[in-house]
Amino acid sequence: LDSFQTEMLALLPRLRRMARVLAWEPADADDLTQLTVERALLRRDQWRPGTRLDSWMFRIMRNAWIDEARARQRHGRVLAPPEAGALAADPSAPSLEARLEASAVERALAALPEDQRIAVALVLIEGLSYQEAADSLEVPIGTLTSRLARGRATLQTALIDQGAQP
Amino acid sequence: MTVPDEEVFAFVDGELPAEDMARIEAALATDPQLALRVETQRALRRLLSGAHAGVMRETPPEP
Repeated sequence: LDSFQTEMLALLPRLRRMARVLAWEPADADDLTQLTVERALLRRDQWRPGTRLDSWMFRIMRNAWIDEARARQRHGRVLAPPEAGALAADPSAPSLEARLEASAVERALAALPEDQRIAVALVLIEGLSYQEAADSLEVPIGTLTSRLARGRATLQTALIDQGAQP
Repeated sequence: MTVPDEEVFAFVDGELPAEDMARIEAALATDPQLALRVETQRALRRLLSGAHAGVMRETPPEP
């Protein structure tokens, strides 16, 4: 493995997490991850060394997801809405409380419009800067921060204001 | 001090210029309302950091 491949493999857990944010169903998410890795390998000469590989791959994943959604629509397949089963508590999580909490967060995230959900995931889950996230989405930074603000407002209402947190 | 929501978000996300980061950091001690808004956003970030965490612990399938 060369350094590009090594760095890409190290990103796999995060790519799979982002794929879950986009695709929900574990099998669909792994297909999306696979497609992203294949495309990244094909286009590796387009990646500029010294820039972040994660932002670059998230951009490839998002575009792959858009292509996939279009292909499904052409074939008359309806994109699966988040199913209770797919959003059920993570069985490998350490405690019941953590499992219930993760489930509530994932449900709230699932309910966001896709644009807001991706903006929230890139910045608040993946830790990209505003500029990096805007570049990944190929939108101006003001568009990114506006999607982020709307997503945050909805999540705050769902997860914090209605909870009885101190 | 009136701080717009977007500035609170940018503060929590570490996206403000250094002087603005310092200004808000200093204001937290004397402005409980602002401190609550900042803490709410920090709580949201902590909650989200656990989203889909299970997939991070799995061994990925061979690519």
